[in-house]
Amino acid sequence: MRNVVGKPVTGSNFFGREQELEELGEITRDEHVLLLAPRRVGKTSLLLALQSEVSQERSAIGVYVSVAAATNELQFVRSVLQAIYETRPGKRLKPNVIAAWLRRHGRRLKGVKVAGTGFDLEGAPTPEWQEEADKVFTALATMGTPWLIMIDELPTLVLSLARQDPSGARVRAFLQWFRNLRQLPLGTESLRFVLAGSIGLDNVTNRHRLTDTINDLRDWRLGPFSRESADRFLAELARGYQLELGPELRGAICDHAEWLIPYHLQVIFSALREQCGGRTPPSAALLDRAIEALLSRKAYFAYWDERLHDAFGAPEDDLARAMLATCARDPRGATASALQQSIAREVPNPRERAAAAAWILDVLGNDGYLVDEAGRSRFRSGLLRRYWLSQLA
Amino acid sequence: MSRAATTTTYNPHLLPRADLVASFVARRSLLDELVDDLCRGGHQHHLLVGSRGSGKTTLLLRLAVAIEEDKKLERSAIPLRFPEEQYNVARPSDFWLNCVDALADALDARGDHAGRRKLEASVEAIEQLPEDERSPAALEALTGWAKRTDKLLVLLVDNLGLILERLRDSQWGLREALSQDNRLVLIGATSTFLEESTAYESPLYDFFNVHELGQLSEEDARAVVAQLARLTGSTEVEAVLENDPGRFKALYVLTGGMPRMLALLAGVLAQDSGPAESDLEQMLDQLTPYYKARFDELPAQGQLVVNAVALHWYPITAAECAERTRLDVNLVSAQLNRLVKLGLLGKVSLPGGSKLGFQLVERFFNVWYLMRASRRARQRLVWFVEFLRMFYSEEELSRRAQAVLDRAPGSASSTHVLALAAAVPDAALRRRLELRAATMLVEEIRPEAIRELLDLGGADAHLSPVLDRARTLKELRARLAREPELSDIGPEILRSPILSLSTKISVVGELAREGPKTAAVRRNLERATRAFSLLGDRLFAAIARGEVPSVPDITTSDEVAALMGLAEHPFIAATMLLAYVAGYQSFVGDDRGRVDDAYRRSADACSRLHDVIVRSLLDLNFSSAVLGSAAGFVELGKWEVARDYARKVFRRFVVSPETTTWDQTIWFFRTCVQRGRTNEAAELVEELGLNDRWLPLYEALRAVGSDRLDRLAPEVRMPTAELLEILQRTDPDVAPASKAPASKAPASTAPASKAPASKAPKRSAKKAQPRKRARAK
Repeated sequence: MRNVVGKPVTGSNFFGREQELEELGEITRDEHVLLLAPRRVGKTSLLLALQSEVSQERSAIGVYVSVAAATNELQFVRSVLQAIYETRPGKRLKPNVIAAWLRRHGRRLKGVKVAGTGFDLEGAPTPEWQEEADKVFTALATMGTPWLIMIDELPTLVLSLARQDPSGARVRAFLQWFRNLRQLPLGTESLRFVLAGSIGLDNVTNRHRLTDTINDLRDWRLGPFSRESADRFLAELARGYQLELGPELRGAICDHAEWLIPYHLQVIFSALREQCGGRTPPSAALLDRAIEALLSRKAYFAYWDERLHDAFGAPEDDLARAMLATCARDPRGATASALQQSIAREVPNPRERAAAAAWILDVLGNDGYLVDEAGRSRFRSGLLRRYWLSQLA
Repeated sequence: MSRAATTTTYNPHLLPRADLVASFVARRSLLDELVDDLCRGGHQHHLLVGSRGSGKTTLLLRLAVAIEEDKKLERSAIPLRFPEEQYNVARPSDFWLNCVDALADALDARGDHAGRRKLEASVEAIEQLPEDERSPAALEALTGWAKRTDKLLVLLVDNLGLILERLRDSQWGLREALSQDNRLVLIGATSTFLEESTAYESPLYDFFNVHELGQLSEEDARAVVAQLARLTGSTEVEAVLENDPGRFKALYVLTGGMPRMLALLAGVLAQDSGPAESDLEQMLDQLTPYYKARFDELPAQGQLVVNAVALHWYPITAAECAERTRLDVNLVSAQLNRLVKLGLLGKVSLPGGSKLGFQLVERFFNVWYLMRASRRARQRLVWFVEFLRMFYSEEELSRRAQAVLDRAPGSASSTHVLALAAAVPDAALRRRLELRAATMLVEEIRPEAIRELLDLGGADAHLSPVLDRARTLKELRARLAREPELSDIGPEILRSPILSLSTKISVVGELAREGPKTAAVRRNLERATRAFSLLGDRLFAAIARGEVPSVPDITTSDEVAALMGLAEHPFIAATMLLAYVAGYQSFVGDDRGRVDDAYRRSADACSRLHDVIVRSLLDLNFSSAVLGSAAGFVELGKWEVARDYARKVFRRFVVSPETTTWDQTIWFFRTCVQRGRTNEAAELVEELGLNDRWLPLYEALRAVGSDRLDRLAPEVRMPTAELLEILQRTDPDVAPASKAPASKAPASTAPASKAPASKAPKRSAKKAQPRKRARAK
């Protein structure tokens, strides 16, 4: 296994999510899934692993596509369809030359035909993006082969649509169409979707009252490693680099990371390797130096304080700081009541305080400062927590 | 290497390959880490973050060479090199097409001309496509090649921040392309902190393995400078590293441990004997493009803040900075923190509280800024002093200061000498430098500039008399220059240590009027010159410039110290001074009949001169010389003066057989015995309470004439006997008490005029050197 920081991992570099993989694989046999998790938790790597698994097992045709770069429906559809066309069975569904010619010359095709192929040439203003997508998915549904289509970063597109049309109409139209797609009768047995994202799709749908457009999705969250998985993960990493990383040292790394996502473990391991310099075996002293080196990246950490002002403005940024300071004091974070208490002096009215705290927590969660775990709000990054504690608390 | 290697400061891509490899010393562990990562498959992207001059570009270039020279990597990876700035990037397709071009260049360099032509053909075709197809096509051309050949494409992209800014709306697409398993590895460098890599909502959030190229450790910095020295054949630099660790430490602090700065200042280390001022000017000149670029790239408010911080020199709080810039303190705080993030400023804990101050991390950047910002000579002087303090160790400063003083004036500018004076830790050396600088200023500069450089109303008030003296002597020189017949004697007058300034003025005036009498004056001057020649030409020259007063004009201990510092043989000079004042004492003491004001003034002046000189010489630890003079006074029959000198020495210093003054002590007491002052000598020992500590000597004095030692304990008897023998030994050079002293005063160099203070003193016949040393136990 390699020390990979930042990029999604595949193959032997994917480790430690056996349980999650099995669970997700199991669920997606029967249900569509909404996979939400904070950034850098490992969603993409998990989806890629699932794709690989279903391919190896031949239990389904796995398709992974990220639609983060899409800013409108057409781009979304093109990305998804492109990914489908790149599979062996999907190649046959690629539009032929005539259809491509028709498209280029602006002829419009009639709206959705759920069953069957073929099309009519008319001047009706059916959205182009729907036309091809409907056709392809209909074809997929009738192939008789199970398809597992994993669409990553969908909430990013949804947010983009919401920004372009604050009324929500466009978002509704898109999400409704997509829901219909998922509900194709012919696709009931053979089409499964996993929609993944780190930004809160549920928040958007709540805000625009669109929960009905995603109520067919099973909400499934990916969290950090268990302590045991993290330990095995580190052991495997060390083995890959022929480093002696004993249980105490592995435990210390986990303690420093606090929230045990692979990214944090990789970063600390990478910093430790740097201190070892390829010559010296890892030790507690070198780990301390590695942590100090990571914490000394003032530019990185100072950013998190500065952006509070941008995110909240005055005086709410001070409220946010107070709440973060409360969270920083305990690696496990703080309860909602403790956080509300931390701003009691500034916001004496209990109702207003509860509302302010909820809003601030929402933003802090969305912006990567905090995560929810076991009823508490805790720092997403142990290093950020320590930095916060030392500098600002 | 048979030739000195090329080094470069700003353009590492111009370095020959071998020199690039040879000069790459620091950041080795990071290079090894990157190479290792590529060898293991290159599954992640890297971001090198470091300020200008931290070595990012050099590292990228060196990595490219490492890939090509590594046995494993050269088969499995190709480094793609780009211009430092890819200004042509406006769309994703531009970036990917640049990558394809870079690949074509790499293939060409490897001799794969067919591969190059094929890629170039595909570029031509791609460029005809509409934009939305061009980008994926270019990317496909790149990744398709990588897939077919099963090679990693390592994109070594400098100034990545520029590209990401240009592709702000397409970063998700970029991320997607780099997230796939398509054999692309991006190793980017950026001088400013990339918000894109930290902003949670940013596509590239935590996407890179970030490596900060910060300050080199002192050990690494030393290695860099040592390697540069070897490459350029600079043995001077190697010697400094070996023998002057303090000097290197100062260099390290000054440069902030940045490789580019180290390379620049290392060259200056080689100029060991050059004046620091030209070092500074040379460095400022070389660094101006570099620092100017760093300053210019700041936004307007950032420049205002940096200006305030730089002008303050010492750490400044946010509140102070806000006051100076007249900006809102919150705004200033935000700017300060931003500048810290950029690595330009550093936070410093201020003493006595929890406040933080901000200052420029690279102190030499601060020096550069101040030297450019300061119009006033005084201010530039202040910063030059700071530079000296930073760049040179205390030992080196003292060495340079002494070298300046040893050379004739003119080898360094007056500003340089003044700055050295402010920078050296040694007070005596500082004083001498100030005196030298003051006289140089009179020669060089207009009066208004002197007023600007010197705080004559405050800290530099003590230099006012020096300036006056120097100006007077300068005028005398000008006058003498108009009298060709005085061309030989004029300088001797000005150099004379025993003519006061007023006497010199009078003598020159009279000689100019009464030319024929120069012969007598010339003879007297020649005699005095011979007599005082042991003082050394350097002292005479200093007297002529006004750097130190001539002896009659001495009024302070500092002047005595300055004079002694310039004398070629300080011990002899001390003795001569004492003889001089002894002559004065004698002159004043003998002429008791005179009661007029002029006499009294003269007597007062002599008395003050005497006190100052004796006290100063004791302060300067010339106790042997004072004792020698005391012996001289005994011979002259001036027991009271002799006793006074002896008291001063023995009360001030612990004298015992183990100390260096013991021989002179024995000499003194022997002289007392020879001149019939045995009882007085013994009484002096009793009076000073030294009869126990000096028991053998005391008993020897008491036994003079009787030789009765049997009452003494055996362990005391032998040393006492030895001392007694010494005390009673008749030396043919020492006259017995009944004879007149053999010493004669030097010939008077006083002119025929009636200046009472200038009458020459008598000189002791003996030089104040101990004779055969008696070994006392």
